[in-house]
Amino acid sequence: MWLAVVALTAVIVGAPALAGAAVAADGGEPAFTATKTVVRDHVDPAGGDPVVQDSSTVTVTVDQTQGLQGMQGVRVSWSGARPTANITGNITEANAFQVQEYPVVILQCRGTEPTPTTCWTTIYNKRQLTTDPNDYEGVGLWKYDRHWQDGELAALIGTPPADQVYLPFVDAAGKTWSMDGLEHQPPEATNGYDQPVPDQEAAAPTSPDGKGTYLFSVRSSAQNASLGCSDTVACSLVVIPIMGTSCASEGALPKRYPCTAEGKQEPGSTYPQAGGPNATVTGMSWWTPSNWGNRVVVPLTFSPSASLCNVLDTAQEPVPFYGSELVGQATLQWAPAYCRRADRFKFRGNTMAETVAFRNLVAGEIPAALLTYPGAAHSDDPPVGYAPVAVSGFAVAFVWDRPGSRGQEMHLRLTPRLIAKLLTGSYSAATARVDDAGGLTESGKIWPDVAHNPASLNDDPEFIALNPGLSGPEYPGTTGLQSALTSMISVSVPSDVMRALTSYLAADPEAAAFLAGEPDPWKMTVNSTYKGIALPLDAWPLQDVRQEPPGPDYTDPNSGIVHNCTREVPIPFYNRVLAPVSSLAAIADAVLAAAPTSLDRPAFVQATVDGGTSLCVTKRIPKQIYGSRKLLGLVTLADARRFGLPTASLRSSGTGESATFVDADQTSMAAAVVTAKRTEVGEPYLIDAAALHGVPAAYPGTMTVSVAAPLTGLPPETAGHVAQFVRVATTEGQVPGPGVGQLPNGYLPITAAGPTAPLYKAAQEVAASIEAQSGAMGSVSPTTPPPSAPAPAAPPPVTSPPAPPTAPVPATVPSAAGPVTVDGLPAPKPTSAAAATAPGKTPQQQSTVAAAAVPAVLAAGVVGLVGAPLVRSFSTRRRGA
Amino acid sequence: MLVVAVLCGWFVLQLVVLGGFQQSRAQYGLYADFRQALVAQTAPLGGTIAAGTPVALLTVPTLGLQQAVVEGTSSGDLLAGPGHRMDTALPGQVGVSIVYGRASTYGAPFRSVPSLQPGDGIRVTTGQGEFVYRVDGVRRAGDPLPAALPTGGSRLTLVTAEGDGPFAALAPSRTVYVDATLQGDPAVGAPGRPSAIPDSEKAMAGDPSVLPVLALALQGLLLAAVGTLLLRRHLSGRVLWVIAAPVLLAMAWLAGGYAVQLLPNLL
Repeated sequence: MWLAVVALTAVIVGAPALAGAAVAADGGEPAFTATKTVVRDHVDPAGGDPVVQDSSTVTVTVDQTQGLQGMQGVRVSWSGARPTANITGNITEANAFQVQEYPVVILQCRGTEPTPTTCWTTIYNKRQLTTDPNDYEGVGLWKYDRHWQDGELAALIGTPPADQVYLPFVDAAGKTWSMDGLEHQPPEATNGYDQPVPDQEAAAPTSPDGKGTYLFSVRSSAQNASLGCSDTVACSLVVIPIMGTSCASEGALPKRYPCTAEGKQEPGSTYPQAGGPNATVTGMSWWTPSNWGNRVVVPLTFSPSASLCNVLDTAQEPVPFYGSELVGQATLQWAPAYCRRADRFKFRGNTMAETVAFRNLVAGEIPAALLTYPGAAHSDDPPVGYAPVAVSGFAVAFVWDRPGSRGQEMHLRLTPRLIAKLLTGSYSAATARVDDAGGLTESGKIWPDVAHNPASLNDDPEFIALNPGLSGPEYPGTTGLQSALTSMISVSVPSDVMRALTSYLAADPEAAAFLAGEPDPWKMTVNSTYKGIALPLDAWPLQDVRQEPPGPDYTDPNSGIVHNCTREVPIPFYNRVLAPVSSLAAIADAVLAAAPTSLDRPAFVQATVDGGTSLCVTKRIPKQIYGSRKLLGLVTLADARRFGLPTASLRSSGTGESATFVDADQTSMAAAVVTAKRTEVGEPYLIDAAALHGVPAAYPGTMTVSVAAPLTGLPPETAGHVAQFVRVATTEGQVPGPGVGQLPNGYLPITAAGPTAPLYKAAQEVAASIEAQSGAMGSVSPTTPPPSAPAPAAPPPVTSPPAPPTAPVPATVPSAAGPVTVDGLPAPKPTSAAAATAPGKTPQQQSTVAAAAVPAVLAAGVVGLVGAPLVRSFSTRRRGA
Repeated sequence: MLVVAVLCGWFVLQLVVLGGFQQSRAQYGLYADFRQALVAQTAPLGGTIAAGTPVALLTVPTLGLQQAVVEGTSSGDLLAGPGHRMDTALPGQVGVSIVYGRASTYGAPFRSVPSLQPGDGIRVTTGQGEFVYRVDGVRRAGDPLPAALPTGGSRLTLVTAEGDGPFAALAPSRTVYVDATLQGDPAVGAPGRPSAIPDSEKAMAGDPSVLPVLALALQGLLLAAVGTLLLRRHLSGRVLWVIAAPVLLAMAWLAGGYAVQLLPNLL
């Protein structure tokens, strides 16, 4: 009897465990944490155990390591490390590896147990060491590392001994690059002229409290094929807290620079410091055995990229969706969830200006468009339905280093008037406009309207009042000519994002007054070419076409011809400064790399190939240096979150002291989407900027994105695919996460209940209409009869029939091979032979559990019945024996 | 060992005999509720309907079948009678309507449905009126799918399971479909039907979400068993069983009812 009780207990305990397993694991925070004790020890001259000279216990955390996309920013933080001395501003360049004492070196390497040869550096001199026969300043002391294996060091130095040794790089195809100069590097490395892929590896400083952090931008095979990280090739992040060389026996070492020397400079000091660093403890020797042995390896996994679909299935024709960049990051994650399944189709998202996509849609060129605002429909256009599939928005991303090497600023406040100033070129910018006496200079006479305005954003009193501590006369080097801060990088092609941004400006009384010509409280006026501009606009015009005064003439020494590039290549000055680009993704790249898009003055370049022709070329102004970066750009929220770019808080309501500033997060976007309205059934849900102006908690940059598809004229298979996309995107595609088919950061999930419930409902209704292809959805929204309303037995014909989700396919389909599923429901299944069963046949649906359950229980009962007396007789026999 | 036999025997008894009683009792209540709803014109016509609400009366004269159909097709919903799949139109409305029913346990309302002949009539009464369907045929694995519905057509599909071999009656393992087409004009339903159903409501699916409740019920049974054992010292045999038997039976019935929900819904 007690046995039975025990058995029952076992079952009871097992059931909740099963229940726990049955409930789908929710993932939670995919963070990585590891703690490691890193040591620097030396061989004991007396012959005992190695003597520990220095040790630290370092804890490394990474905020996301699974399901990464290329160019995604992951934040690496650490604590307990030895503080860095002689800190440089630009921590990604080779100098940072060479001069900082006790930095933390962070690199991306291939494989889950990488060797130094699989770690990527953008240039060879980050993996170079001097053998230094003269032992200058300790640079050659890495040779005395006690962990070198037999023959390893000799093989590295070679015979005759080389002055410099280089760590080779093995790429994904197995080729070994010697990395001993610019010409022996893989193609993605810097070649001295330009850099295909921005730096990611860094020698990051640890502050005096032992903590440090760095935003590491990971690379997939799409950006760096030589490194070759992808969803099938595992990679890792290697974090090496540099402790210095653990030395072999002191015996033969030179006395001037003992191998055991510690760092020379004060922790927390900035470069350059008198006396320079002790090279033994700099980041240059990250790949020598002592430092490499102290590494922390963080395994990374990448999500399958959208281009997987092109590789997996080249035969199937994709169904292309064109339009908004706002869903670009989402479609990257959604696309592989379609092409891998036989009951779906090959989805491809492409970016295109939304107005152009709409015109192509109504002309029948494309099956579906992704846009925010409804297109201007002409009378002979087919009726179009709009199904909301995403809620995201625009943001002003920025990179701003605090003056005095105090790290990166993560919070900025902007008002619509400041954005208006940046877009209209109202700052007096690069050329001196006003002389010391307050009169106009040469260029001031060309631009008298902006001559007395502040030079750039960080000189603007409105900006300084909102963001104290970032600029002003007390921070030398921040005032004056900073041409990157006279504008915000924006987009040149027509875009719904620009329309939403300009609606935000138009809805704000201060910005509207400024653009109409009224001076702001500090007497700044708008650039006269933009005065009275009518907003909102789809595309921001470049209206200031004034030319700067021509520069000096230049005589080409080869040909003797006199050139004047500003006359030969006449680009209007503000066009050079504002320099909008053609896609929002490019703006996010530019802000991440701190590479402004503004163009330099056209310069004369002599062609080296044939001595005859020489040209005037314009190039982008140089990339900003880490430590003094200041750049703003208009980006999509999803790109900003993906790359780890901070975004500015925009003013949502009020003025002056009582103003509220809101950054984009789930709460503020929900507060905005609650105000979304549509004019009639089938039209998109739009957020009105004027209505949003009165909601302090709402993020002003929130935008909805809808799938637009014609309601007549699509072939049934395509209509089914588009409808399937809407249904999948609003259910499976709204689950937040990094996995295939999930919703990345920067979006507010659309759910059946909550603030996005009307959008969800509208999406299902429009999807049904798209599938049915039965024409316009009607101007009366279908009324759901409340349960208590009287319903006659024979209901009267309804004027606008609501489309039930099981709308049948038109009667032209013949009997056997119709597009139906096993239950007889019409389904948007492609009629390709990829279906598991022959089309038109009821598939096998067998359940072994059903077959086995009752007979098994009966059998167990019979066994119990028969076995009980047997067991009893066994036990009595034993007792008797 | 004897206890194992008792437990297994009880479980089979519950599935086959006691479940039948439970289902008849449930049907009695559903029929009464549905009649009332029809009179008051509050029967559901569409939109989101709570699982377990009666939505239709299904009558098949040739089989002598009369059942109240509830909304929802999970294993738990089908304990009370045939269930209507939530993502399909209601019977009598435009489109395909699908009804699942158990084939061998808990009253087995759809046990004889695979024996329907083409031409047999099925009458369905819903809040929108009485509708008559004529059976097109019975469909098993490998049979061709039915023709696509013409615009404005309506079809009813009954889904159940059947087995083969010596234990066919107790172990139906294959799904079988019976399609019937509406004679006459369908009604138009209200919008807002769910477009997808959870996995536990699909054909031959168990419902693992009952595991926590099952664990509680088993704990109750365990407590009752332990209590019985402890009381054995203080009370005589007959008195003990008079007190303990109803409690044990009730706990076993409760646990068995939840355990059944782990098994496929069409069983």
